[in-house]
Amino acid sequence: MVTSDARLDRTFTALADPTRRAILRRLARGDATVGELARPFRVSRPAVSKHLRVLERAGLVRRTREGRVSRCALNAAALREAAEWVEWYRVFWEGRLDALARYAEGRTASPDGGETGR
Amino acid sequence: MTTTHSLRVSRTIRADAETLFRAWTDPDALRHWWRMNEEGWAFAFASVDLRVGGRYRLAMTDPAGRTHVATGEYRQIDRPTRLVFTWDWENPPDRVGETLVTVELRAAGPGTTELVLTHERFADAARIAGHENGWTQVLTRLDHHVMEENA
Repeated sequence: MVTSDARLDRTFTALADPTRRAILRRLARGDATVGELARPFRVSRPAVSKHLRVLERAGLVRRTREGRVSRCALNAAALREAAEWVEWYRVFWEGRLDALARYAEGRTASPDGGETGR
Repeated sequence: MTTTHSLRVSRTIRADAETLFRAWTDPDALRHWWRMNEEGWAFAFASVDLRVGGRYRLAMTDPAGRTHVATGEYRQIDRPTRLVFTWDWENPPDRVGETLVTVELRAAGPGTTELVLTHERFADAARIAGHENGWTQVLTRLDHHVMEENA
């Protein structure tokens, strides 16, 4: 998506991977440790940790340490932000139609002034 | 949570429908307006295969020099009143599944046209805003998209 909001980019990048979506689906049912997350996915703990880091950077998952065990929880707020995608498109299309109007009206209103959409 | 999310924007423009239809479908016209209004953005390229089932690619370059390509397939072409096409971004991290854009052009007076743009099938994004249950559906749908893409 064409956006200056790098965080939203990270959210979508994080969501683009099926293992990470599976992890999120598991966390939607409740918190889990890294070990609990690794078990059903047939991937190593380091691999799960790597996915979790991507999800953490995107703000989709929060990790807390309890002694030697780290627990993971879903952060629904980041997903809500992804929903603002719709709002992003509204702004996007408003901008495009402004540019289109300037171009089309420039053509008809001032034929000798050249095209304004430069 | 089965409703399709959509958004609608409109403009009344002092130009005839044919001029506007051409602006959407002719690369020589698109180059004059297809970019962000902000400083540093530029039109990159446009390719248009204007027939039902034909594809388009519209590209702009951001201030950092990255190219963002929007792409899709024409679904309905009624020159000069209606254009329907699928829409998605081409860069893998940007992709979130196929959506549908409808551009309608209606005469609003002499030499004036009302343009109504509808962008729909945001079911994924709408569900993302939902509760845990909606969440699971979103993720499952995303799985389907990825499987379809890899198929």
